[in-house]
Amino acid sequence: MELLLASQWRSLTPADAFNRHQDLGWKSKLVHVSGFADFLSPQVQDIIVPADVVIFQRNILHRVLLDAITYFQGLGKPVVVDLDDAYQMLPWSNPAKNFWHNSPYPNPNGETKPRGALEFLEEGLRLSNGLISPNRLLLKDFEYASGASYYLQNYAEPEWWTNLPERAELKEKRGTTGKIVIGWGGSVSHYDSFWGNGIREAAERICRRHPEVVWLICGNDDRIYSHLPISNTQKARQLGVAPQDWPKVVAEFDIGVAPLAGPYDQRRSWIKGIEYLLGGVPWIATTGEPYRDIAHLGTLVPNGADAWEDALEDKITNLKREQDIARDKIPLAQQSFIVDNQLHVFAAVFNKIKADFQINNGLPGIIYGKARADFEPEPYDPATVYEKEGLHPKPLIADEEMIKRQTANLNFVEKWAGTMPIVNGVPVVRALTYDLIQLVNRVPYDG
Amino acid sequence: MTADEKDRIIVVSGSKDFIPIIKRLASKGYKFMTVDQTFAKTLADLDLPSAPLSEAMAGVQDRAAYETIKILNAAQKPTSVQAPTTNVSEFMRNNAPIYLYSRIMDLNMVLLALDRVQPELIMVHNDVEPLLRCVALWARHNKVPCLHIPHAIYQDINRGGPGTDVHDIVTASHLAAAGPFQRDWYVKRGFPAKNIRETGLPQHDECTKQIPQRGEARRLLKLDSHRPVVVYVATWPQATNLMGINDEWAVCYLTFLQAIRQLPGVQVIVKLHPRAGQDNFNWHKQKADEANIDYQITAIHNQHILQVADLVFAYGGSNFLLEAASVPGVRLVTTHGYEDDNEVLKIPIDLEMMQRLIQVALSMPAPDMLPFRLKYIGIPDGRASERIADFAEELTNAKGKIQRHPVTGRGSKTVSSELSKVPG
Repeated sequence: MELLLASQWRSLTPADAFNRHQDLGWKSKLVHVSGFADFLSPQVQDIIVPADVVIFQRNILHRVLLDAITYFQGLGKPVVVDLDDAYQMLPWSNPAKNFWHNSPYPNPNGETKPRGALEFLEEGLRLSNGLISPNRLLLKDFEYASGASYYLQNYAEPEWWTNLPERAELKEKRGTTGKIVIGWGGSVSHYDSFWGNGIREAAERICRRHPEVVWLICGNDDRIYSHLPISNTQKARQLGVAPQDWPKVVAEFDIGVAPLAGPYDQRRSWIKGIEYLLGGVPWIATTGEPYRDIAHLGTLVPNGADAWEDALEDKITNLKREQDIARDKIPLAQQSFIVDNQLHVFAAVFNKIKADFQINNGLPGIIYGKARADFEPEPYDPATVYEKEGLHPKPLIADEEMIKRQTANLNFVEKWAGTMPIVNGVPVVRALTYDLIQLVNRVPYDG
Repeated sequence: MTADEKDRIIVVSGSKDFIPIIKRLASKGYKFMTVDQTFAKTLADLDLPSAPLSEAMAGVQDRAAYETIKILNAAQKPTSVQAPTTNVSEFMRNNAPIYLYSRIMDLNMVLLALDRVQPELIMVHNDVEPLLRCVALWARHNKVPCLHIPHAIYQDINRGGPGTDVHDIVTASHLAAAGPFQRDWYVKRGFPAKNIRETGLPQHDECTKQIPQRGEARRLLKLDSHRPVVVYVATWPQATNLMGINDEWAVCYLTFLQAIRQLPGVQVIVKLHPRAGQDNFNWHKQKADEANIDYQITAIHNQHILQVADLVFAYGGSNFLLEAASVPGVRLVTTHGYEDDNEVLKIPIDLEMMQRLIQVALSMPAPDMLPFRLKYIGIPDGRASERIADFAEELTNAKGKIQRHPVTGRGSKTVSSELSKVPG
């Protein structure tokens, strides 16, 4: 069975994993959104039409993509949308807010509406056969449009999270040997995550009490680093790295943090938590939906400066114990969060998507006939049915005679074929006995 | 194909039932060439090492044409073989060359391609259809093992005993038999018993694997879960035997439709053969409409249909009944065939009898089908493909593998150069 996915975590990682394990019965292809837009092109169709499930990852941003959804549904394909971000409640600090909320939306009547990209997204969800998301709140948010909801988390690349260098080695390279590194990394969508939840105040208190602590802030958003109210001697900056190199940065952390603030953050996936687990890093996160399923494998705190301070203090005071526990959890993390080990989860979701589509749309290739109340068929008379229907009855000849004639026909055809020239020693015309006997059998018998 | 790969080539016919077998053999390093062009694409899409046999046909056209002309010339001459009737004699004289003209060139190309490929083994799903008998004949002449993995279990229905029907002609050297019934069937037709292995057939492996739940299958097929479901297995006439050239199959269907009209609670699915063709489909649909019943008609979704069926009705010895026997609780009904098997109820083509017996059958519990299955399809453990793959591998590795005869006439020869040697 085939998937089509149109991002690293949501698309590339699971797609590659399925293709590595085709014995499970699934394989996957990725098509760029521009390919979906060109859905009538033979080359694009060669890729898409064999698929069993088509997944649009996020970017339903043009009317032609809505047409593509309808088109592939017409070919009997379930088309589902995948979303891993709460586009409907992007904070102002997120550079994408303007695009999703304010770009013009040209509808078929030529009118332009605000909330441009969101309108397309909602219309796409309504057309689709369901929504896949790594967050249950997000599924609930869009239930009004999507109908069916499918919960499917993120899972990590196997090669990136194996054979990681030792923490001591990584710290020596950065020059943080002897320090306690509290680490965090994220994209430009995380600015609000450090406000309003007390982590900045807790960081200040911890740093005053523990001069050996260094906060390592990773990512390309300078604001989080700059606005952390601690001395420059106790914070360091790591710019963004390629995805495959990120695990080596995580593995350097003595303690990892994953603060959340507000409803937007509550709609994230569990990525940070599983990264810490795979990296053998003791971690603290805000209580909530993103880390609910792995709460027992980390420390979750309600937001507030005191709660964060207490949790950080506990980790620092008992660092060796915490790091030993985190290291012991790595095998479990590998089994539970590496994508190749969890493909059955994906397969179950995709099979459900297929089954739901079939139940809602019926199986293809079946014609349904309905009796009509206003129609009375002609009476059936077995004595005249052959004549009436123009059918050929069995000849009134004894079976023994029929067998004799058939045997004679068959022997003749085989012998005749055997007198024909051979080709490289092979009596090739004999291969045609099967067809020839059917022709000869239909010759009227002249006795 | 590289020279190193040549010794590990298996030529296969285009049966999708072979795919699990091919997968197993591919994992052991075998490569495949397909007689059927489309099947080559199917295997390529599954990333199995394969190519169409046509890839080995480059440059053989001239030689194939030369051989074709020789055959066509011979076909136009009076034959020494006595025809059974004057009409047949005249038919052959007037029509045989025309028929051969359209077919023999393809077969000659296949033979010459096989001469080049020199496979270790040939696997076919029957050895009677022209292309497949052609490759089997090549195998026989070149003493290459040819394994017949039957696509169906034949019975003596609408025909006489051994030696009277085209399906009795055995060309393959080895047979993977479904079970004891099929083994005996072929032994009676002269197949050497020592070359037959009871492996089960790959198409029956699916029956033992997980199939949809009955409730879900009924939902998928939009059926009422409280009313009985009768599946009618449609067919069409075949002219391979004089005793089958009639339309009793059609009257059986028409009678069935009338019987169902008098059983208003019954839900009907008409299951067509996947290769039945559009005319066959249209005819079955039209007659169901004329009978004014509720019905579904389809050529696919076997597994779902079997899961929802309470009773499966087939004209003659349909193999679909063997698949149905794998589903607990399904009652099997036929007009003829399975004569010695009490598990299959026989119903005459009579409206009143048919209606009553369908009603009675639906009210009876289904019999235990295990002995029936063991007889026809062997041990139902879902491992037929494994056993057949092992058998195939043995055939390619067997000690004392048959010495191949040196093949003469290889290499390209132009038509003109050969014709110049033909006297007169």
